[in-house]
Amino acid sequence: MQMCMETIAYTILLVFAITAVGYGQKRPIEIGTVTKKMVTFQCLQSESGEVY
Amino acid sequence: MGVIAVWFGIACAVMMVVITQVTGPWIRRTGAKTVGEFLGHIFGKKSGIMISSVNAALGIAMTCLEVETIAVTLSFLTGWEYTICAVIGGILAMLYVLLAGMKEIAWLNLINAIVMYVALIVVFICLCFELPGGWDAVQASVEANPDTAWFTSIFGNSALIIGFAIPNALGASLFHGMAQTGYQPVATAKSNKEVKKSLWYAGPINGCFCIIPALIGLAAFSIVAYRDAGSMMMTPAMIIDLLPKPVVALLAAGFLGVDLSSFAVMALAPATCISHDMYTLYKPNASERTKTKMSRVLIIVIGIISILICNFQPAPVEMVNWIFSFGVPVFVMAVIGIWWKRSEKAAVITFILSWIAVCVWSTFGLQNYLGWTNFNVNYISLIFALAAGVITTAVLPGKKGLFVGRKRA
Repeated sequence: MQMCMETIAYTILLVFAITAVGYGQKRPIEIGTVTKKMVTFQCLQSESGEVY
Repeated sequence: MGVIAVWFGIACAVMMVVITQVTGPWIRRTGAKTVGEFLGHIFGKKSGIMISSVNAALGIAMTCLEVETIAVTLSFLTGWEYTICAVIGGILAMLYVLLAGMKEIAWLNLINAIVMYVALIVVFICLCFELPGGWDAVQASVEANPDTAWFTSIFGNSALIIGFAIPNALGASLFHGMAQTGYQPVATAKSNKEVKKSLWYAGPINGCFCIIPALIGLAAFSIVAYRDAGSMMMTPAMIIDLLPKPVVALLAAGFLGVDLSSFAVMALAPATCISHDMYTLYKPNASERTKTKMSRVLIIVIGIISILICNFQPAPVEMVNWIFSFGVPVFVMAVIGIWWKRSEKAAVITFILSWIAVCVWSTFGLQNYLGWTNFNVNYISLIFALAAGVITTAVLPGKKGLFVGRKRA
């Protein structure tokens, strides 16, 4: 039973650590460089008529 | 392999982080319906179509694997021959996708996942009472042999961590992070906020999924009578022998449901790639209705192909890693094209060089010839993609990265 408990505990710990780190990292990746600027980017593209 | 198999689930948690927090929101913001369309935005139409074609082929390969798992589950349920189960399972899977819409499939996927989890927990609890000597006997039996003593620890074997756990996380994250199979559920979400929040259930649900199957597999391995049935059949043999019939039925239903859900996602991805990225080359003004019809026809074609070749496939883990390795250069070049520089020539050269390396290493057997069994094909693909991608992008002319302009705006 000790083996089962260790496997369950370590896996849940690792999975939640990965999830928390991944979710926590979204702000510097998304807000600063993507979300805020995207609006301006799309408008500029639309005005210039450039098609990607 | 022992409980180290849980790393396949942990790899899925890493994959969900990449899909829901990084690449999914990137692709959604450009308004692209397919990854091919998104890569077309970055590098140009030709490379976008090239990626869509490869993604469609790889999606079909994944669908073949799903038909294989459906056939094994049906065979376990009925005792019928594997090939007959593949035909019936393939037809069932096609009907499952064709008769339902996207919303129904999304809800069914959720229900199937819940049934699967409940079934696995019930099986685990039953095994606590039914296993001869309980879980302590399983541990004692496996640890008695020095060759298998490490089976009881998820950190037990460093060679497998390097050759199995890390490349699985790497391949799954990079492949699904920039493939239609990973983007398909993200594309149907209401908003980016919803996609990001979904990590809190997608990560743990996928990440913890392998715990109980790994423990059940180890229990079957620890009992010589079941171990003799072979790696594929020892767990079903133990379950049928030890557990009450209603529990066996619940587990089989859970597995079948999850298999059908996976088939739906895997079949929809290549069908969408072909109907949106390739069919429109011949009929640029095709309506959404025509494309949907086309997707439905394609699902039937993909289902038939999957049934026809499901008897000729290699071991699932090897095949999955081989499929993943084709997506690695796509991810590397997408990141370069978004944040540094866009050169279609550099992208095409990198894709072709990396894919040739994958074929030489894995498909044509250089890895086995050299005896480098732990040097996973995903490592080869990543090394070639990074080297070729950085060098060709630096040398060849190109436009600034797709998102670089936004920083300056």
